[in-house]
Amino acid sequence: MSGSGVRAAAGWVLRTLGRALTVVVVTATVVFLALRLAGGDPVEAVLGGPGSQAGPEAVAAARAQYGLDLPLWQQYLVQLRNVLTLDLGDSYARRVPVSDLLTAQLPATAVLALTSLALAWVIALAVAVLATTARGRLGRAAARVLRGGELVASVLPHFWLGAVLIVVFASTLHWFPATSTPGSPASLVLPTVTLAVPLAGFLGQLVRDSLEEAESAPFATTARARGASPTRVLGRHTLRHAVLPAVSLSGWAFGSLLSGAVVVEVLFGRPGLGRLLVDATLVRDVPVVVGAVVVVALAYVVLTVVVEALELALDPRRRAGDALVAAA
Amino acid sequence: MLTPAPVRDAEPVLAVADLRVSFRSLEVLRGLDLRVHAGECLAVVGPSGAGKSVLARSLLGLAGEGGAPARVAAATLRIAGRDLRGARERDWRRVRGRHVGLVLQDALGSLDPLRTVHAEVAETLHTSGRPAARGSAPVGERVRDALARAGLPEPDVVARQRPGALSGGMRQRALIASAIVAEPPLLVLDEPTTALDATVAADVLALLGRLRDAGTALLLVTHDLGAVARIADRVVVLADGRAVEEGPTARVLTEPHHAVTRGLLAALPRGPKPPPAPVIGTDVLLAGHGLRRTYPLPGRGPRGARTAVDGVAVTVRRGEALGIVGESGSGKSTLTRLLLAAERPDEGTVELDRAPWSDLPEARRRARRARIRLVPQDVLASMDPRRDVRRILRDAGASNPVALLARVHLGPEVADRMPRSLSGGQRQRVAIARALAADPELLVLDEPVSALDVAVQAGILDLLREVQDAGTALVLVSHDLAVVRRLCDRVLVLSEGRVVEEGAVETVWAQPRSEVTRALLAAASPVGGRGGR
Repeated sequence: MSGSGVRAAAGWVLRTLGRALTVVVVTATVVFLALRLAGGDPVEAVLGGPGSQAGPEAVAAARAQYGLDLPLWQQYLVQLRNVLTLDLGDSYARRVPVSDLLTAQLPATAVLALTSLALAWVIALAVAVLATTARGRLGRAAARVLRGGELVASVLPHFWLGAVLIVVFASTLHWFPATSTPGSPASLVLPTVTLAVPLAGFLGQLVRDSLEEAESAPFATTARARGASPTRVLGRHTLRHAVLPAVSLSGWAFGSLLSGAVVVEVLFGRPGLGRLLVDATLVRDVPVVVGAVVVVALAYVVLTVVVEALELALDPRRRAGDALVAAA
Repeated sequence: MLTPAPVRDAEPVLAVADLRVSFRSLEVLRGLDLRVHAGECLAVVGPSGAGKSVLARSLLGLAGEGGAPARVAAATLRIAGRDLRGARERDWRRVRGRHVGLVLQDALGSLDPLRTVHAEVAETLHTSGRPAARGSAPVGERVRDALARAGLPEPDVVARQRPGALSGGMRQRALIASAIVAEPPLLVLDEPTTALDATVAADVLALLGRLRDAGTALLLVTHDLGAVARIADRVVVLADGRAVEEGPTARVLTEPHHAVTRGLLAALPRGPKPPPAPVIGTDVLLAGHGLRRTYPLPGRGPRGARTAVDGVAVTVRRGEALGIVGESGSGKSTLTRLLLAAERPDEGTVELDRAPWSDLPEARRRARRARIRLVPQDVLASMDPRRDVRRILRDAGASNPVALLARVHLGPEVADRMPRSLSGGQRQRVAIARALAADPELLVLDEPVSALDVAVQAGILDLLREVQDAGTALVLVSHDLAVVRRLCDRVLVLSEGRVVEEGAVETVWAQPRSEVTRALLAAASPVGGRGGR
């Protein structure tokens, strides 16, 4: 058991690393090609953005300095080598190492995405449990309202929801600031809610659906027949079944949060990866864009691993050794 | 003929008088009286829809399980001396598990697949944190004891496993262990053997018999009269929410007074296939030679493999009905798939109408697929839930769905129904109609009646007889020899992937040569002597 266990674990680590490497190479390639094939000249980024008035000598010098005079395929290989050696190069526009830019902007986005994911899960769980366990006429009516709310929430676009929240809670009620101040938790509230609400609607539908199914499953009936209270049935049996599908989709959800963060950071004037990406893309600052996208892709890989571990913890059926032997 | 018992003068463990349960305006139980004493087994039988399952749940205050709120009223409702008329949810919780245990039909669904057997069995001990649990052995020991009493070998190993790793019979035993761990004086069993194959069911019934002999009162809800004959002392026949007949088991099963009881008994698949035999051609329609199929076992590498079918020869003649019987795991399903050419054999070959069948690429088989049709075991899962019956039959190639429905004795109104809204018997008829749509020469039926109650079973078997009389050959795969005997001309007995016996059904029935056949026969005889004691 232990020998094969070690081998299985080593195999898993190798597979995961291989997957991460593939993701990095593929995303770096796609981003590089997309930026270069979209037209425009990255040397403009070096010289102060599109429409710069630099003379031909300055342009030639900049091209030589950043290797932009090489054929495209050589530029691509250089970029790829840089990414794989974790040397992301210097920003064309800002003349600072890309890694410095990323370390400065990453925490703000990570905090926003994680608080949003957490808030979305809290709302989704609360709504699902309330809607499923509601009793009596009033309770069932409330459950119907919650169900409708989930659907509406899940289709709200971030830019619209963010704008409404700013108008209501910042401009009118003055409860929370509309713009970000570093180190101020209050300024995190509206961006977090903007990102969390649509995701909560989506996760809530998933959790409620599977919770309703689990609550009417024979094993829940059996648990009640053993004298288990509704709380115990929920805590020990049904909730675990109910969160499984939503946990599996949380990796995907985190990705949607990062893309949402691009909109929300611009809307609320927050620093962050999203903001950095938008600015760098506009001026074709290739190293920054490639670096930021690769970091996001790596975050995806890490999250997929976390989700896998969570699934294994929640669902023992997936663990090796406990596998079902098909009874044909 | 009353079975004498020493404790009849004591107060019954379960006493119910004038029990009424209704959902909204629909009254499902309409004034039911029941008494079960310690060490006694009362069986509640009746056709589907009689209110049996609602009764079982009502006795634990769970009548409203599954949605609609239920109204329960009774003149008497006493369990182990406790008056439970108008009991609140909180009161019921103290009774459940400790004074009355519940065992449901489907043990795979009734045990939480994410939790270990130990956690499931111990649950009752954790919920009833009062006298029953305190002052006695620690939880682990009580769980092990319950598993051992439920007849599980190696209770320590089983306790650490999850339901998915256990066989059907072991799961049912684990479920029973979870119901008896707190030693409740009353056990309510809702179809405890229906999902099991015959030999495993016989073992579980023997276990229930031992529990009864040890003093537990059993209330057995079932449509399986064979199970009733084995362990019940008395029988209550339920129809339409009322008890229409009650009496000692032997009397009710041999001299039924009420029409419903007679109907249930008459519907038992008993006796040989009625003559005259239909015209059976001599030419072979489907033949398999030297069939062998192995499957790799997960996690065992290339060398670990299980041989599911091991050198089997089969022939089906035109218009003939062939039965394939065996316990679960004997290779029935694999053989079926090989015959249908849904899978390729590792060795051997299947021929259809003396032409290659299993050896052909699927593209060349497709044109002849219509000649063999399958009626799958899980009929509901095989139908698109969003299509009505008319659409389902059209998709199968029927030009006139209503005429096809008439052929399986269903009215034209069924054409507009959705599969989920049909009863089990209706669904089976629709599945047969669908299989007949392309006018096949051979129908392969996988456990066509195992999920149905006896009255519905009889109807389906009669229908299949008509199908055969019209010239279609049948291959009937079943674990129930009685069903096969009722319908088939020849039978093939499988065990561990090999044919252990083959011949005319009546010969095999009267003079079984192999041990496996004898075991299947013993398990199949529906109303025989009581095997429990």
